[in-house]
Formats: sequence, structure tokens, C-alpha cells
Amino acid sequence: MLSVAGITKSFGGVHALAGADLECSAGEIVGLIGPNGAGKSTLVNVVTGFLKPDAGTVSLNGREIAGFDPQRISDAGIARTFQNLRVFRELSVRQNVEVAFLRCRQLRPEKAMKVDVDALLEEFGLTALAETPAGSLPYGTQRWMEIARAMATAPDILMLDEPAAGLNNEETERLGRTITSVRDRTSAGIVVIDHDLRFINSICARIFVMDQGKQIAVGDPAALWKNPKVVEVYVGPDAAA
Amino acid sequence: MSEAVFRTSPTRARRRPWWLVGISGGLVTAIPVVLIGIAVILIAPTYYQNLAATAAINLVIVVGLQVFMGNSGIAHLGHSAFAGLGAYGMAILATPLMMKRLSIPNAPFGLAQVELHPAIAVIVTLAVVAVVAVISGRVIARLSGIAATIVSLAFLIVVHSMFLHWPALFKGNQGFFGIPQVVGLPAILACGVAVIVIARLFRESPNGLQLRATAQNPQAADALAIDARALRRQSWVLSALICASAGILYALFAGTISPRIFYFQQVFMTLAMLILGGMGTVTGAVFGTLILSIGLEAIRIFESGGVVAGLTLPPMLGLSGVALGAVIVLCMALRPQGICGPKELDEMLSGALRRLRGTK
Repeated sequence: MLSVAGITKSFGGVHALAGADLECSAGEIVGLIGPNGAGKSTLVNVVTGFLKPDAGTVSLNGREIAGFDPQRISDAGIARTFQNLRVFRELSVRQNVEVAFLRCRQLRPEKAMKVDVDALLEEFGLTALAETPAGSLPYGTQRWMEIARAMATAPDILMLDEPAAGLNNEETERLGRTITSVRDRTSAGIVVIDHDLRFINSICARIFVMDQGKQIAVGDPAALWKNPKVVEVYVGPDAAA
Repeated sequence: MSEAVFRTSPTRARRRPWWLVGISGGLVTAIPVVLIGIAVILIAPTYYQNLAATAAINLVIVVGLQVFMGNSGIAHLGHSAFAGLGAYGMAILATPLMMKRLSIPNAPFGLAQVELHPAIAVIVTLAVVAVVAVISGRVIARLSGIAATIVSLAFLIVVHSMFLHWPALFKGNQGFFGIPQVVGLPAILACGVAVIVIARLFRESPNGLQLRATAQNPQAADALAIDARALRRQSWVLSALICASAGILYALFAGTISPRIFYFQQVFMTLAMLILGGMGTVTGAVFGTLILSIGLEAIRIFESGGVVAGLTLPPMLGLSGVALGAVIVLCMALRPQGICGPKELDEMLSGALRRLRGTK
């Protein structure tokens, strides 16, 4: 279980995070939404070690990991994808996924036994493209590959930073089904950041809403959209009144 | 994304383990070297035999350079320092005592009284180089990009200065002579084939693949818990041992060495060879060396002037240096991945074979 509390982070006086919270249990799909600049990606970067928090705690299965570097956090069991894709361009699709698996096998051999690279490629619809250099794939396919690559580390928690960006409706639906089935199969906890509210509503049991660097509401999709604070942020103050 | 993406292939191709890919791929890549080598041994006059031996030694250096530079993506300018350490290790350890009394009578650590069998000297030399590489590798691995490159250059200069200014051990500026000449072209070629296979094995190994990933996207590699520093250290040490082997071969082939052999001229020639062929692959290292070795020899004909195809040419000294610079600049500008591209020879061949079958 991932438990994040009271994270603050400022960049030269700008408070990107002002006491942000987040929680995700094993087998749970959690949504993280909020307007542009709310601090969602900053929070993911803090949790995964790419940014050091000024204050606050991040614990994974009871172990405090705030401020660790990305390698140690990945080793501890949190995997991620990147909003701006980061693929190994000259490696093939298979090698992109395989390299994650090989590292996992070195660090956590007992967890790696549950990972099957071929099955992952199949699950994410990449089998036919396995030998293609990742850099020559279309943008959307690279996104799928990044998720498959993250799953090849056998994570306890998977953080997806805008996985549906640039996908059409049909592809977004398929992504939702895949994420759900990955959760069912591995019982990993999955945190999904996205702007597509319908997508988030359809797969998340619990949604954290952020605004101005902190959580303003949390709840299941049905209750959340009745919350006036959420309506205010998303629709405007007039509608909430 | 098209539907075709989600079509799954009916049969999962059986994939070979990485070590089998490494060995077989390395051997395929070595075929041109072996063929040219055999041809030279059988029919070429002595002058070309010696030329081929020098080219084969350069091949070992270029392959060693590829192991670090090609996989880590960090430009390396200090590889000749390791070749020099290998050569001087042999000179100090394997030269007969009679010769040493003339060249380094006051060698420190009692080395003036040491004469080892060449085979044992090789082992001791490689062990010493390994220690130097482990220490320098710790520094290099912490850095990335331009900083690492500059430190590798500094390392070259430090080692060169040591050769020059510690005459009691290295005999300084003058040539160190009298090293037993126990190695010929066939042995050098065999070593060339061996290091090609070793380099390819490292490239295909789990660690080699991870190191290549760090070169292409450091953040993504970090997010997969890949330890870039440890991998850089490993490839640095392996690269150093291969380059040192080249120096050892040179010493045992030529019998005489001097510090300037393992300096800028060699650094830039081998660098140009690797860049020309393509640093991403062992194939690139092999073909870059073959092409530039032959090319430079052709240029040397022009360099000395004379009559070529009815034209009287003036001597153009330094033409080969200009050509080396031109190769580096043109490759970087026009084809940064080198003439061989991103694929190994065996991958190109099997791809071509598949296309051939497909069109039938």
C-alpha cells in the first residue's frame, strides 16, 4: 500500500505542492485529477524520486521512502510511466520491456518469476511489433509500450502519468480494459492521472482531486461530482453556487 | 493506432539465449577479418603482412573502445593509455635481463631483476591494468557526457607523462627495445576474433542491454532501477582489458615500443575508425577498422607523391591526418550512426534472408 501525506515542494517561491496527499492500496485503481498546474505530475515525480520533497512522508508497505533516488524507489516496488514519453528509441519494443524484466530479475528474483515478457507484449497488443525499434512507433503505441515496460518490473504500485493523452475514444476504452485486467492479474495498486474524466470515472474506485498543490476532495466517482468544491474547480464558482 | 497492432502472431518465435546470440553473432562479424587475414597470410608479401598485423592490433583497440563508448554512449579518449600500459607491462616484465641491463638498469621495485615468461607476463600485466581500470572507472562512472570524456582525456595525458618522465621504469622518450617477438599475424588475428566475440557477448548480455538503455534515456533507466554507474564501471574495465591486450600484442609483435605510439595519433585514428563504422555495433568497429586501414594505406601512396595514373603529384605530407579529421567530421555531420547503421552484421544478414524468403 502506498501512502503519501503532507508533501510540500516549492520551486523558487512557487508552491507546486502544498501538503499533497495520496493513497493507493494493493489491487486498487486510484484516479488523480485536477486542473492544469494543480501539481499532479509534480506529485508523481516526488513519489517516484525524480524530485525531492521539501517536507512530507511517502511510505510503501509501511516503509518510509520519501527522498530516495529513483533507482531505490523503483527497486522498492513503484513503477511509473512518463507524461512526455521516455522510450529507449534504438532498442526494439521487446528489448524495452525485456530490459526492465532483466533488471527486476537481478534485484527481486522471486517477483520476476511472475513476469512473462511475451505475455506482457501480448496483453498490450505489441506482439506483432516486438522487433520494431521503439523510436519508430507511433506516439500512442509508445505509450502502451511504456506501461508494459513499467509492468515488467513487477511493481506493487504503478503510476501512470496521463496514459490516455492523444488516444481516441476507442483506444481509451481499450486502455481502460487493459489497465483493469492488469490490476486483476497482478493485484498491483495503480494510480492514474488523466484529464479524461469519463476514462477516470470508468476505471477508478477512488478519485483524489487536487487543486493548487493539495488535495481538495477524495471519494468514489458518484459522490465526488456532487461535492461543491470539485464542481467549483471543474465548472466554475457560479455553477457551484 | 491501427487494428493491426493488436493482431497477435500465431506462433511465438523461439528466441535464442543472449550468450548464443553473442557467440554466433560475434563469429559471423569476425568472418571478414578471418577471410582477409587468411588471404594476407597465404599470398601477401612481408610488407603487407606487417601492415595487416598493425591493422589487426588496431582492430582490437577499436573493439575495446566500442565496448565502453558504444554501449555507454560516452566518448572515450583515453583508451590508448590502456594500450600503452599493456605494452609497457610486457616490456618491463618479459624483456630478457640482458636487454634490461642496457635499458632500465635502475628500475624500481626490483623490476630490473625480473624476467617472466611472456604468458605469465601477460597475466600479470592484465591484472595490473585491471586494478588501474577499476580505480579510474570509479571516477569516470560518476560522471556523464562531456565531463567523463574530459577525464578520460586527462587520464591519457597522465599515463603518457608517466611513460615520458619516469625513465627508470619506462625508459622515457626513447624506444624500449628487446621485448621478445613471439607473436605473429595468425595469433593477432585469433585475438581479434576472440575480442570481437567478447565485445558482442557483453553487448547482448543483460548488463550490456541495460547499459545501452542508460545511454538512450537516463531517466527511463533510472525509473527501472538500472544502475548506470555500476554498468559504466564494468564496461570501462572490460574495455581497458581489451585495449591493454592490443598493447600487449603490439609489444610482442614489434619488440620495440615508445610512448608516442600510444598517444593522440593512435587515439584519433582508432576513434575515426569506430565513428566511421558506427559505434553502436561491434560490426561498426570491425568494418570501420577494415575500411580505414585500407583507405589510409591508399592515402599514404599519395602522401609521398610520385606518378599516379600519369599525373605527377607533389608529396603531400600530413594528408592522412587531414583524412582522419575529415572522416570524423563528415561522419558526425552526415551519418552519425556510421556506415554500418544500428544493426549487427548477423542481424542484417538474417533480415535480408527473411525479406528474400518473403518476396518469393
